[in-house]
Amino acid sequence: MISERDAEELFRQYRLTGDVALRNKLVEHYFYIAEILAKKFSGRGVEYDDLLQIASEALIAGVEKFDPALGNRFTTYITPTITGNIKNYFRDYSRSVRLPRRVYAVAAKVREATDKYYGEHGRKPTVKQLAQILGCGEELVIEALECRAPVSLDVTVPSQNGEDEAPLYDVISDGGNSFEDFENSESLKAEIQKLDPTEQKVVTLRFLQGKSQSEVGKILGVSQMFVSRAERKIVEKLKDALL
Amino acid sequence: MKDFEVKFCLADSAYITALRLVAGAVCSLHDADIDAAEDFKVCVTESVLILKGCGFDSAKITFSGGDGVVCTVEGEGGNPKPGENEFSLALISALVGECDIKERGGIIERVTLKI
Repeated sequence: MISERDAEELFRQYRLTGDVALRNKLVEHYFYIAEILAKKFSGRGVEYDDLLQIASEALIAGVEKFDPALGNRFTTYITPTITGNIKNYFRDYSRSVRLPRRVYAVAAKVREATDKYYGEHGRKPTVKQLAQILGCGEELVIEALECRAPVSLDVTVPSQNGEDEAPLYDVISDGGNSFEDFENSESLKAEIQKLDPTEQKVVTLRFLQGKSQSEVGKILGVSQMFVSRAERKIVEKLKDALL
Repeated sequence: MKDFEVKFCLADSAYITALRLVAGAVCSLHDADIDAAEDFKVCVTESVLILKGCGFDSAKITFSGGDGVVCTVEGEGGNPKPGENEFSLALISALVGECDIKERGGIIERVTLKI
């Protein structure tokens, strides 16, 4: 444990030398703030560990930027900084699937218009100004400010080998257990047993364990593209057999 | 702007989003820029969560205009007890222009915010 005066001295030395060991000592000393703020925001749809990571990154960046010569206490400076980062994380990830589609479309325009306005005027616009710029109602802008535009599941992303592209829908894991509901169907079980062993393994990993195509590819030692093709083939086979 | 009140049961966190929309609309009426509005929304909802943490059943939020925007968040009902709110209050104080806390026996009963 170091005193506040010692911490100030460490900040001065760090500013002069850029010594990473000093930075780490300061980060360790103030880590409790990251923990408290991460705990404060936990239980609202985002895991504590994720929040702690965001808070820790903000703390490290804060220690690196903080200048004690400006006369502020580090705790005063870092608290809103970490909070801001956590807020941004929440805005990006935790509430992005609740608002109507039209709001997301406006949200992207709002963000673009805000950046443009800030670039031109050096300050952020008001809702009224954004509504005028975008030619829409203020209510819509207010709603749009509550979300960030989500990524479409149809958007293509690089596959594991970095060369091919695959729809995001195919690459992400399925956190749900929807297939378990179907598993009870005896006819489906029987058809799955007719598949060859590799295909059965793909079904188990992909649909029962909910792994992504990339993860399945890693386990089986094949590319994500291979898994994608195998999956399509399996689904077609099962469809033919059952429908 | 005439004063107006919003009151809701703290058991349902869905109302927090509705409250954020209301707070955003009030800021818009007063031509606050979107950064100031975001800070205000965070403080209003954080104040409500403080009251929830203290054990109040419901929250009454009063918005009034004039010289800036003033929001008073009061707890009602329930079986309130003192809670650990030091950091929440530090956050709120750091984000809004003025912040007044009414406390009785260690229980925070009302938070008044002004931007």
